[in-house]
Amino acid sequence: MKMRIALFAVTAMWLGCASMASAQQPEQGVPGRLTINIDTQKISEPVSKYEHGMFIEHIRTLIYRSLWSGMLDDRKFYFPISSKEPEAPAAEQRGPFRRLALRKWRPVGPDDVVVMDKDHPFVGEQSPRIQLDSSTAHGIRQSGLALLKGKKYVGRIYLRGTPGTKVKVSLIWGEGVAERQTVSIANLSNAYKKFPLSFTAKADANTGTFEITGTGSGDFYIGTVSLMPADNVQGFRPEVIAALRQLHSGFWRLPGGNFLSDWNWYDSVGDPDKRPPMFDNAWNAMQTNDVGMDEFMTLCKLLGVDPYITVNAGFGDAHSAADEVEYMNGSVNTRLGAERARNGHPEPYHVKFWDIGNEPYGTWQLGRTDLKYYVLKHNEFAKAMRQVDPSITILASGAMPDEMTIEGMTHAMHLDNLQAQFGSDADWTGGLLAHCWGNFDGITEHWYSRAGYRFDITHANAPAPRPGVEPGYVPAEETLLEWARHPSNRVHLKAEEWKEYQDRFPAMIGKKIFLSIDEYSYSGAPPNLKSALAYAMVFNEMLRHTDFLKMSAYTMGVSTLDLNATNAVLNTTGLLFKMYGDHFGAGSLPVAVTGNSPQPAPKYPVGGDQPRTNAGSPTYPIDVVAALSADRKYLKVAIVNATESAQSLTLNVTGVRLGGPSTLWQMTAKDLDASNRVGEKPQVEVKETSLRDATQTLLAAPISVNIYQFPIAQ
Amino acid sequence: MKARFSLVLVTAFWLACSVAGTAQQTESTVPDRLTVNINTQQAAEPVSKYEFGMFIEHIGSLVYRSLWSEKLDDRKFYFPITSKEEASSQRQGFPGMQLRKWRPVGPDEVVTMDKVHPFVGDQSPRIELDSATPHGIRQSGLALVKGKKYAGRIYLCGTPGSKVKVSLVWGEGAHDRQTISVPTLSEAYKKIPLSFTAGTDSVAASLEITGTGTGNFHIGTVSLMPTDNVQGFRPDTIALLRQLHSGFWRLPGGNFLSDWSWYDAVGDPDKRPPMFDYAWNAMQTNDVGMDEFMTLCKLIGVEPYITVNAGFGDAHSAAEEVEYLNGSVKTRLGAERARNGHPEPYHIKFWDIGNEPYGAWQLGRTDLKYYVLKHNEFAKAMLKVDPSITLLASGNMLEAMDLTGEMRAKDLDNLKSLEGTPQDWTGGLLEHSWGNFSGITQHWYAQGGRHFDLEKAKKLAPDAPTDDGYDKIDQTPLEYARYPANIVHLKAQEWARYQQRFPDMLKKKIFLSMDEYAYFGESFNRAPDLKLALAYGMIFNEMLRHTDFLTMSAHTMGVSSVDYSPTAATLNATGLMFKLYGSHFVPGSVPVALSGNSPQPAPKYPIGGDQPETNSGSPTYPLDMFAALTPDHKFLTVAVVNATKSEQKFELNVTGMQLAGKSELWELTGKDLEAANKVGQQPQLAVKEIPLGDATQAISVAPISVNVYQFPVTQAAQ
Repeated sequence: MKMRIALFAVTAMWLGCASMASAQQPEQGVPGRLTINIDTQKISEPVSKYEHGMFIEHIRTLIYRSLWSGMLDDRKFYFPISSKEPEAPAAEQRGPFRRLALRKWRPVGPDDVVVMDKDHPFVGEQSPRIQLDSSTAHGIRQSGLALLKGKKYVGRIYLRGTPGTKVKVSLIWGEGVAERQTVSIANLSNAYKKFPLSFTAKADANTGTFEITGTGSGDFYIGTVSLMPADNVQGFRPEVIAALRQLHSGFWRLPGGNFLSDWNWYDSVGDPDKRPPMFDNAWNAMQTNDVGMDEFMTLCKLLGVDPYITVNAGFGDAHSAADEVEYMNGSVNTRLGAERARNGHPEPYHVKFWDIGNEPYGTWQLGRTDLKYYVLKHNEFAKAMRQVDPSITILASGAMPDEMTIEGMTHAMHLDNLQAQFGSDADWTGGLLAHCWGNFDGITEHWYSRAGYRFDITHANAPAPRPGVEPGYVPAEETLLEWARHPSNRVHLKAEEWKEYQDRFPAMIGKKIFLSIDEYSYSGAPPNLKSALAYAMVFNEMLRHTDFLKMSAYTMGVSTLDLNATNAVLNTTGLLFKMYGDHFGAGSLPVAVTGNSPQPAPKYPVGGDQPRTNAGSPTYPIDVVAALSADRKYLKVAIVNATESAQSLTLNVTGVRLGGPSTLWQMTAKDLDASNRVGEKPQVEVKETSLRDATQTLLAAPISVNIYQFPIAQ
Repeated sequence: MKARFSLVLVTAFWLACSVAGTAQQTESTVPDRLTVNINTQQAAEPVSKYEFGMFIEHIGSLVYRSLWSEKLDDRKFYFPITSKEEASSQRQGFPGMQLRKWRPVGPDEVVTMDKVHPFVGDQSPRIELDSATPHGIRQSGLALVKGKKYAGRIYLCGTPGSKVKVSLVWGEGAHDRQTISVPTLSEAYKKIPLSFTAGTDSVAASLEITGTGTGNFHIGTVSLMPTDNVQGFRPDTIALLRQLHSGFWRLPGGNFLSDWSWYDAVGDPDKRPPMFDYAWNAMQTNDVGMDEFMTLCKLIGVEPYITVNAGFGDAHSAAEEVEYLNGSVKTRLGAERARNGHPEPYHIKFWDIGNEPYGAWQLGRTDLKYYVLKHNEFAKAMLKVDPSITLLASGNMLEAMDLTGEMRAKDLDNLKSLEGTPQDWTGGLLEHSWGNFSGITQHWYAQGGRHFDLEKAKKLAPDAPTDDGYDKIDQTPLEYARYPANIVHLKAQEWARYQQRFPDMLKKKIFLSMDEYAYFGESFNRAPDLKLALAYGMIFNEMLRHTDFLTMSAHTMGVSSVDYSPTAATLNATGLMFKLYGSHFVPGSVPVALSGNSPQPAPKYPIGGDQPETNSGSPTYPLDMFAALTPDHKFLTVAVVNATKSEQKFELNVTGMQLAGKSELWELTGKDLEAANKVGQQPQLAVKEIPLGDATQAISVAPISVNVYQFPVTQAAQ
């Protein structure tokens, strides 16, 4: 994802920008009676298994805060240990990354008793050495751990030191002497040894502490230490896994993201305690490499999804990517397949989908090179990867003119015309199509829409960009419906552009070159009913393009959750993914929807983020998609009402006869801001309502997302 | 090297543009008696072993034409085989380096490229057989020497019963050939040895592979070399290059590196896949790979200095390259090297990360802010494999001639304002990669007959090419010779500025490696002549004045010191110069202070661009001189370049030591400036050794000559 658009649903930074329904939209009149015609004989390509996928990235500590059970930060001692804060305040102390800041190890005793040994580190470049005193305990501690009363925590610590040293490892949940549990370790030697740890918290705490101290003469070294709740599932958080499993996401794209471009997969496999920590300059964050390639595969297995791997084409090369394919997919008779087996995974993962590079077009990308070189690089990667496993499906990392324009690439290229033109050097996707043909099966696209802003090419040309937003973004005066339609317009734009590519490269159709929108998000829109309306229109628009849009991945997989250190619930985005995933799953057959009320004409000049026509079905002001279930037993109709009035409509279905009791799943709430938070009573629910026989008149409640299920009479 | 300066001295395209000695130089007056003072008590840092190094690159087929013995081009059948010229007139390589093509014997359609089960690479030719008419392929244009033996091998498979013949053909007649009949073929590829003796000299011989029968046969790969090859290399060029005492060769590139994978260049040469290099738009067979380059260095008697791919390549692959070359047989890749026939690690000390990463022409070029991170990744990974290696970072100092866009208009004469900006590549490395290198590289290419015009350049359109800032000028032979020395002088000035900005450079002894440089004279394709030799004399003198930080340099190319045909070679003017200086300013020589009563003229042009603050050269105008003691302090060696057309005289005063005994002179000159040495022709240039008798105070220097005097010395009494 693009650095400037750092969206996280983990923290809900609320920007008061509730739009009033009063803007002067050039609305056309809504007909007196809104009619929807569904023709089940006009069927599009079935919905892909990968329609509602997810993206995840090692963006700072995101994965460690949301998915992974490890409770200790910097468990491999990448950072120095001092009682003083570093001179420059770390960037992660502010902004949406606030919650991702690392807890720090602090000395127990004077600062000078903790020295970082760089000569013989256990892992990485240094390990702490503690100078001992015979009576005063010296060591290190980390505070801020969340503990639950009665919960068991287990782990391990690697120690070496002067024989005779008495080391105590304590889990502390309060101030009192008794509010801790201590594991005593006495038999240290000059070689590192692993000691098991086990604790049970006797009280809830949000500021629990983990302490490692010793007394004696000489010194002791701490190699690495780990602590997890004992109920972790192969290292992952059970409550988070359970929530995400419900989404039927089909696939997760991993492990990044921008972070990939200076990350080395080789260092993320094998004994987790011996994997070196590294500093990622994309997000300015240390990575412990605890969640590496094998753990990501475990995650996918736990979630019931296919992995879709992006390889490092920033600082990484084709050989390393091919090695990664061998590690993941090679038989145990290959060198790296055998290494995988030694690491506990004899069975190849058979990873099918591979993406070469992440946003290589972006000036923010570490190692970014020009299109003319990138296409050669892509070809090198594809050939090397296919040589290892010819069965893989390769995606090339594209950017269509809208992305190149909006994200400032034309600006960075000093082009006079900031609107990127097809076939020019600013047409990244076009360059891939022209120069990498045969070396990909699909092409990726990312988009981030900014809530409350629209892209204005005139403004992009103006010399004074707004601080905090890309040049060209201007505040948008939008009705609720316009606000909700805004991100689906970006999908619509991609579809318009894809058709242009298919015209320019007709072989795309014969070869079934597909599009993967494998990062997208409505940035700055907190997860609530309002953003759910927008995402529903995004989903509807994506479902209209099943002929070429075969994959999509939302940024981030865990942005579907509201979570704290010990619990998690689906937020409105999560509920919506579940709702669409349940009803428009793999094999669903989209059918034609027409109506008597076209969407309004574009409000702004075409270009930038404004497509030639607005997204949506001709059923203004509501937005409708319909599909037959994979078994053709049901007709499903999704209706988004992003107005504050109830809308009623007449439904005409041709091609099949509806019959029997129908069901409505409806997501709504008392207001647009309604949201679901962990530890609080849910404000938004998906209500299942049984309707009697299929009816001709449907009602869509104000600010609601509705999925109707009509049985088809045989 | 930079793409525009594609110099290859294999072909001598002579552009007549001899400079008349009439230009209005702002000459300083020459004193009646030129006096030269040498003070052996003022000594500089000893001359490095790597002072006169060489650079070589797989630039097109350069290495295969000049150093490698293989007679056949495209021996792994990268290109399709047809009787037609390719529709796209895409240039393959460079003048004189175009690949010879395989052509069908028989109709075109009898040769198809099998892409399903290629022997090596992406395809192997399949020949459809006829029972009567031979079908096959042929490559013409081979140079043969009468009576010389040629040996090789061919991999074939095919329908059993096919009768395949391999012929070396040196004439039209039925007997102007030698043919080997291949024993019966099978479905699996088999290696068949080849051996021929040429019946006559030829420059248009052919190798022909044909068969008759039913079914078809496949050709996997084929190789043919003169049997006197030295581990695959040409004995004639190796013997010449050995004489240069180059200290080291930088290899294997060059721009070509940036899309090249070293992994594909080790192991069985017949199984190494050919690749297409987009830097020079040329196919590479990978026959001369990392092990062969090491063999080359051993044969020439130099150390290898390896540049790793930091274009499309990554840190992991570079670290593995270090392991392959330097790892013990107990490491995975050290063991692979041993399996490839080289159990002993090569112990390579010098490693350069990336080639010209700053250049817009570099495949995979990224911005400085990212490149410094990338460099650091490489350095850490490589040092982890072998902590003993010496790492060089690929720099480019701030220079006006490189500027484009707004910077050119605004900052051309105020380079300080660009310090620390993305344009300041060397500064960026010093700032952000400190601790991850021991030395920094710099490349330069200069061309005679022109001058960078600051005022003109400032007014250029922002997107105008950098070359548009140059004016064509008339140069006296001396100005022509001094021009590239001024570039070295400029680099020294720039380095001093970096030392000022980063004082730790002195403490850490960060050194400069000028590991690509060349002077093109008037034309890229002009054969090296005496005029060019005078210029190289001044370049060498200027480099030798900076032994305190300039401890490595590598000339582009190593083989540009040789003039060669497919079957013979001779040292050219440049080669003679390298040999002359390399023989006398050997490693450990101690430069000593040299002054005089005749300063070089003041700059003719405004300071900036290619005009340093002072002109290069010793204060012995019009001569340029440099002096050093031999490592054993037994001789004082004095180099004197006379780039004028008149004889010059000077008086030599030596303090600190006494001249004692008979001195000698090695003099390189010719009848005119255009004198050159070409293979197969009478040499027009020679280094003459002239005994001078007892040391003399008054010395006369021949017109247009480079001279190295050797005076025996003893410690001065008191």
